[in-house]
Amino acid sequence: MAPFRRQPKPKMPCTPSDLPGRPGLVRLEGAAKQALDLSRGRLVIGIGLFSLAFTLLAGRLVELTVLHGEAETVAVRSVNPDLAARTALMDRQPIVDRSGNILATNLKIASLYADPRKVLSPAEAAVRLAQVLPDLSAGELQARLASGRSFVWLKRGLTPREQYQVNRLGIPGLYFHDEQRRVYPQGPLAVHVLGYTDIDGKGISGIEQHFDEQLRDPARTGDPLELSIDIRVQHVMRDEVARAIDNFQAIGGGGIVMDVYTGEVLAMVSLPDFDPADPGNASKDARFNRITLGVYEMGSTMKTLNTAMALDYGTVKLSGGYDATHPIQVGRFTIHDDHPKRRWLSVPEIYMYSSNIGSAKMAVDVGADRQRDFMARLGMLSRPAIELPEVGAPLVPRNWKTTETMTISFGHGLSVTPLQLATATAAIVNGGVLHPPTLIKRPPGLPAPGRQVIRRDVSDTMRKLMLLVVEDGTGKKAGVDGYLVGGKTGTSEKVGAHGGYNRKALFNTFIAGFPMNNPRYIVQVMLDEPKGNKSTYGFASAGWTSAPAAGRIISRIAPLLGVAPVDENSPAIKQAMYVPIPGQPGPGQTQEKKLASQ
Amino acid sequence: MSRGLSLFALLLLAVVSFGLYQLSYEVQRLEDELSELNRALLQERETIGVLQAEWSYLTRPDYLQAKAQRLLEMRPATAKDIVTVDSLPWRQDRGTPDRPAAPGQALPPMASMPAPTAPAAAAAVAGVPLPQDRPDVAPLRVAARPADTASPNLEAEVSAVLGAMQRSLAPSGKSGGRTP
Repeated sequence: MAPFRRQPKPKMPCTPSDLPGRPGLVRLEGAAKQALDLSRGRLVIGIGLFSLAFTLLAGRLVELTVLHGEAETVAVRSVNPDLAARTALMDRQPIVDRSGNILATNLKIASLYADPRKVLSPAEAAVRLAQVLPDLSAGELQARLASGRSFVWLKRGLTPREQYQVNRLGIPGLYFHDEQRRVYPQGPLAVHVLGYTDIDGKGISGIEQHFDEQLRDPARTGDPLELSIDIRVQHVMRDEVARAIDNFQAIGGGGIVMDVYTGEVLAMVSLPDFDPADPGNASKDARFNRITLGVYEMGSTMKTLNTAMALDYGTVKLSGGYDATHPIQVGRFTIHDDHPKRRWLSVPEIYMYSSNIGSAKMAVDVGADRQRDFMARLGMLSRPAIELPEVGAPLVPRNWKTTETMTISFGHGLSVTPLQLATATAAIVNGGVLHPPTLIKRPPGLPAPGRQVIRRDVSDTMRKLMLLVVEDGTGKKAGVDGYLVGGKTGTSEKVGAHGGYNRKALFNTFIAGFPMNNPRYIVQVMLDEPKGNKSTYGFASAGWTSAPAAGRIISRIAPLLGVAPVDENSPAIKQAMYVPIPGQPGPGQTQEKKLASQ
Repeated sequence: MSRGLSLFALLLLAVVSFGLYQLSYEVQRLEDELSELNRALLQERETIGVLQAEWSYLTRPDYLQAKAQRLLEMRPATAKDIVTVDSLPWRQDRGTPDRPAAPGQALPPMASMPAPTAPAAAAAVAGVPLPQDRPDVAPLRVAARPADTASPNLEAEVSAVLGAMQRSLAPSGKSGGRTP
């Protein structure tokens, strides 16, 4: 600083460098000095503020450009809410079958609306619109277009082709609004399982209703809801039940296929059915799910449970039996056999010839209380738990005495849903473990929940007895070459309008399991009020109507499901599945088959 | 001195504002690009959804069944159509223990399905009898093929075909069944 100070500066009027004191410094006194100090102070503050601001800006700039720290999150936050909001608003989780075939999904569709104030010529527009949208009348359209309001719906849910054609008309004042619609590409195939949604996309029946909240959950819209249904099996079931209904002029029917080890339902059909795209036009009967909502007296198919019960409690041995010579008189009723043998029958014979007398006596030996316990254990007395809102509660007798014990033994006096019977029968053939039924695919490899309800050896015996029914008893028409099919027929008379049973109105069930040496699936087929025809010689019982349908279903689905066929006549199989029947020759010897054909 | 500072500050100001605007425009451009991509993504997703639904619609089992019955000379598989690899017969022209296969065209037994090794293949082509892995199974003679075309690939081919058959017999994951 020193050299500068010594140099004389150009003199200015108010720069008195020659004033006494330190040279080179300006000294001001009084008001002028104060004013300068003040403005300098303000300047310093201003400069300080600005530098601070610019430093901050520069710092932020460096942070954003060089460090990238927050940049990405900023971008994600700024755009993705838009995408998320749009998908959440419109999407509903798709539903697929166990192999990933789409059963229900959401599609974007256009709906047509108009701003009538902008439509130049309502009459002309209406005529031209009616040409491309034939389901709308020109008069109606004109009335709406001439209404003078600012918004009228013309048609909801146009097909892409209709949208294109309307666009091509080029009428001003018409607009499209994008909407989502639930579509069911498989049509009526699994309608009673899936259910349907209302126009706002809210599930109001079936799986759509049961899982409504989950299906709407935006976090899940990506991955579909996997059902246990297999559309191939579902189709075969529907095809064959429809054919049987047609053949025997039944008023309805249904069927179920269940995996005996997991309780997974592979097919659930209730006919008549309807197109889920148009539930409004479906009759009440078509909307009714006969498998889970309908309760029926299941008839002789209950003898499977009855026989398993007696063997499980040990009240009779397999070699034991009961006298079925005379009908039993109980109060006003007489219990008699439909296929009377009029002699002592062993337990296998009671089952295979479907003897009501023998079954009733078998149940009486067990007793009413133990019978009720057993039925409760197999889930026959409570509403079945399945992922559908349409579930019927069984009709359980209020007084469970000897009479009820007898009638329930052969399937009367206790009405259950077909689903319950299938679930219980699965437990009886699979080694005695009751698995709750489900419509949701279970993760493979994990053991399904279940509890032991009968002994394993009783289950083994029951499989042999069921096989006997198909080989020699009432269910012969369910036999399939190459597969060991076991089953039980059930023909019950429906309760007539005036009470009492109607001999003409039958409810036929056939419940089958296959293959009986290594059970995999339960197949149950029901026909409501079938009539006999020429091919059945006028017979309408289950052995003639439901059993052949079940046989055809098994022959079609077994190869699809990868069930290995066996030679059912091989000595090893014969030996393994042999049931000793008193008075009949053992395996290897020729058996006289002089049994009634049904 | 203060002039230098001012100039520096001005320069800094210019640089910083330029950088800021540059950044701002860059961000705007990227945001536009992102929303464009998101829109395209949504569009693609919708298209995929439509195509999947259409595929599901066109592969309805009842529709396929009607078409197959009308157009194909095929019928549903029955139990008779399913065999296990074990039950497949040996070829008619194989040798038997009392009538050994002619040398020169022998291959190791199929049942053991060894990986084709170079010496074995060479031996087969050269007509040297092979050591028997399993004395109970006679060597397979390839009469249909001349010796020079009995390539080492044949074995691989056979095992590939058999493997494919075996896989097709095993219950697939899709069927949802369990292996008995």
